[in-house]
Amino acid sequence: MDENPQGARVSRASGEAVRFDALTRRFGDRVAVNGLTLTVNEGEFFGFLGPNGAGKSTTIKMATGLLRPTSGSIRVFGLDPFTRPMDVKGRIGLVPEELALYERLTGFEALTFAGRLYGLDETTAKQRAMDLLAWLGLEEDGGKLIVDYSTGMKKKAALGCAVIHRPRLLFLDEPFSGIDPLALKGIKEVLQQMVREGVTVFFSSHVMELVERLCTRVAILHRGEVHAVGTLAEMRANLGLAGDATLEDVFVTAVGEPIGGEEAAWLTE
Amino acid sequence: MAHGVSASRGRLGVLVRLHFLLTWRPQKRGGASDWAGGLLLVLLASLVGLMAFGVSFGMTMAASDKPAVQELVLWAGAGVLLLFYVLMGSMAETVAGGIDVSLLFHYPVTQRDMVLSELIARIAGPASFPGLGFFAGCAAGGLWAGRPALALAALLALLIWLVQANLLMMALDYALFHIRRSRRFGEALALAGSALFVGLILLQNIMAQHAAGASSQGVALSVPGWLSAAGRVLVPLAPLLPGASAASWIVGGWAVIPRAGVAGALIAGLFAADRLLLMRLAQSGAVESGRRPAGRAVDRHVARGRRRVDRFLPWPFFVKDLRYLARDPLLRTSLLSIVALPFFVVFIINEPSGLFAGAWFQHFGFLLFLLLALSRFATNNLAIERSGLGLVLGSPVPRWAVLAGKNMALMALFLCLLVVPMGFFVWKGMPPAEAGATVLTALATCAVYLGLANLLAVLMPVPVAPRGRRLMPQVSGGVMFLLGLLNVAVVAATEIALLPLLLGRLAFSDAPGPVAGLLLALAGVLYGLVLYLLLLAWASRLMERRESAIYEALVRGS
Repeated sequence: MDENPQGARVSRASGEAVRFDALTRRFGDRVAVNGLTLTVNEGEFFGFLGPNGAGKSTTIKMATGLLRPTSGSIRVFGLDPFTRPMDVKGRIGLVPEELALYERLTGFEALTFAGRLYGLDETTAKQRAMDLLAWLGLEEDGGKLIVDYSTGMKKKAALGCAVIHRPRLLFLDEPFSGIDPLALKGIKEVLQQMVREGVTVFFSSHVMELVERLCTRVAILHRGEVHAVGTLAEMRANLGLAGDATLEDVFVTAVGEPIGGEEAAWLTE
Repeated sequence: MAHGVSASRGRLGVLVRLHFLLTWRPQKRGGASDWAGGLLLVLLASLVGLMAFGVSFGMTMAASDKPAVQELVLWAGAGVLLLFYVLMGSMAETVAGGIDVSLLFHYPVTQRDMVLSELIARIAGPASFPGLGFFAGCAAGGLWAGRPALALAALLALLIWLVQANLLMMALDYALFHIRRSRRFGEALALAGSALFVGLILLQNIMAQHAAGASSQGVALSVPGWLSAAGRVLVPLAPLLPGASAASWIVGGWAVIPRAGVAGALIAGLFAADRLLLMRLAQSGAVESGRRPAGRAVDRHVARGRRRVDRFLPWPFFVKDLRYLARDPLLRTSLLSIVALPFFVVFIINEPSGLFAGAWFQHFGFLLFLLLALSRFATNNLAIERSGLGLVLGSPVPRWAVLAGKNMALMALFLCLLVVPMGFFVWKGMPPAEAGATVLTALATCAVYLGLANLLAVLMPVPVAPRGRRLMPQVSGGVMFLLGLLNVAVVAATEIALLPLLLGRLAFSDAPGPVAGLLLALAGVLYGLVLYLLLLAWASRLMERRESAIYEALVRGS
């Protein structure tokens, strides 16, 4: 964020990576995303923060062309993901919350397959699959079926599938749950390096510490609406908080009171 | 190095390879060495194909001097195979070859490539073997009988049939994939489908009677006469039906051209429909929504209840399973769909040959239909709740109670299905005592069937969701095919196990009078109950031993 981390950060930004204009998605009577307007610039490590059910995954699905919005528009590198889906999907990588992996492929096969689908030739796809397995600490498990992987290993494999074609924009939907601290450190470093080289990362999470440590800019989403957006310093200033307020303080102030109370008092009796 | 990739290159070969791998790779985890499973599947599918070959070859040869009959065999076979295909699909959730396409939606792959690759993989899948065997048998029979034109027609029919049947099944799968998104739409679709099905049966019945010149009261035709009458009505419609149209152009001459045109138009239409449905599916957020609702915990008030029924161990599981079956939109949709089946029974009883009005049908033939309807929920019953099963397996409850609770819920469904045909039989004048005996026999049959189904559920737990939901990524298409075959085998085994009872009922159906019939049926219930309890004890012991394997197969990664 502003205190942080990335060094070059947004400096390489050459334009808009994603733009949402009055984006709305309804499921029957329920409004999952309500008039979302937001711009993410190229080269940003953008944090998308919100409690469960805030509409983060729905927004990502719409941005990646997987879910049609009820109204509003989306542009990814200036392209509409629904009229030019192949162009958009070829430029982005996605690690969905519910991992999209064929579990009866081996890790190596899954990565090679993803590379081939993104248009890499067989030799390059295999070479990159080997490199990614090593990067993710999976080289010894590359020959195992994914169904035999732990949750963290599956997350790593999904991440490998999402970056094998060197996307310009990476959507990560709760990507780090279940990953061990050692691997997490390595992955974070590589993601930060990718951002320094101009890749945009759209990072959805509800883990404040991670977002605070990694992201250059953050949007706080609650009940489908953006409650605050900007760097940590900007949000503090906008919300009238002290200079040492954490992202958690900002979040609670922006969203409202924390959940909890008398309802389950018997738990602590 | 450039970021991203060109999105325009075809990925067809890569997708076909993926489909092929996921269809034929064995189910077992962790073992690249377990190719024996794949080989077994090849052998099994080949065996079914060889049987189909033998049947069609024999029939074509037997009618070597009757070209019209040979042609009838060909087109009737195309229709019957399509029915078999749909039946296998409904019992094993999807016909072999289908993979979870929703996992591909975020890749830059066109709908055309997705549809084409799935089509190719399905054609090369195990479910195509019966069709391959059948048409190859017709071709060989044609050559043997000195009719090369028939052989050529059969081979071309094979090609058209494989494409049409698979495109049709894919369209059904894609369309059904949508229905979980909307409960109301799903239920409306199920009701419309049921109404259409019943309407078609009724229409076919009326037309067959009309073609045979029968009076409105019905005339007892011979079976060949009925087939011939039905043929006269349905043959002209055959060129318009997917699957059946494959063989409809064997008439030869100039008529071949328009009929081949219709077959081609059907293929083009189905392909376009598949692409459109897939496009809609790809933009419906389907990637994540394949998740199944978690199993419900046992209601603590029920578990703590003081009434006697609450202390009956399977009771909470019965209540949970009944709620689960009734509340899940797709399960409910399926249940609504199979309500059509008793109607089917009612209408075919009315058909003019009287084939289904005989004692054999009233005593056990209709039970077969009901068991087939139930089989999609019963033979893999532990898989219905998926991750919720973790809660059940973690609870300190005897495993027999878990299985018995599920069986009771399924028995309740069975009773609902039984009401329609039984009402019809009574309305047609079946004496109440005989109706009571028939109900008792039905209950005994269902109990034995559920006992056998428990064994299959414990021995071969397959993490599948109801048809139309997301196919679980761990399951190979080949295993689905195998599951379909085993479902049929369980129904057949039930009939075999109950042969003494059924034969007894047939033998004494006239002689001893209604009370004796009832007593005989009561003896049958006792026999069925004992058999069920033995099977339940066996299945629960197996379940205790195989609990970790069941957990691995169904819960982990769900």
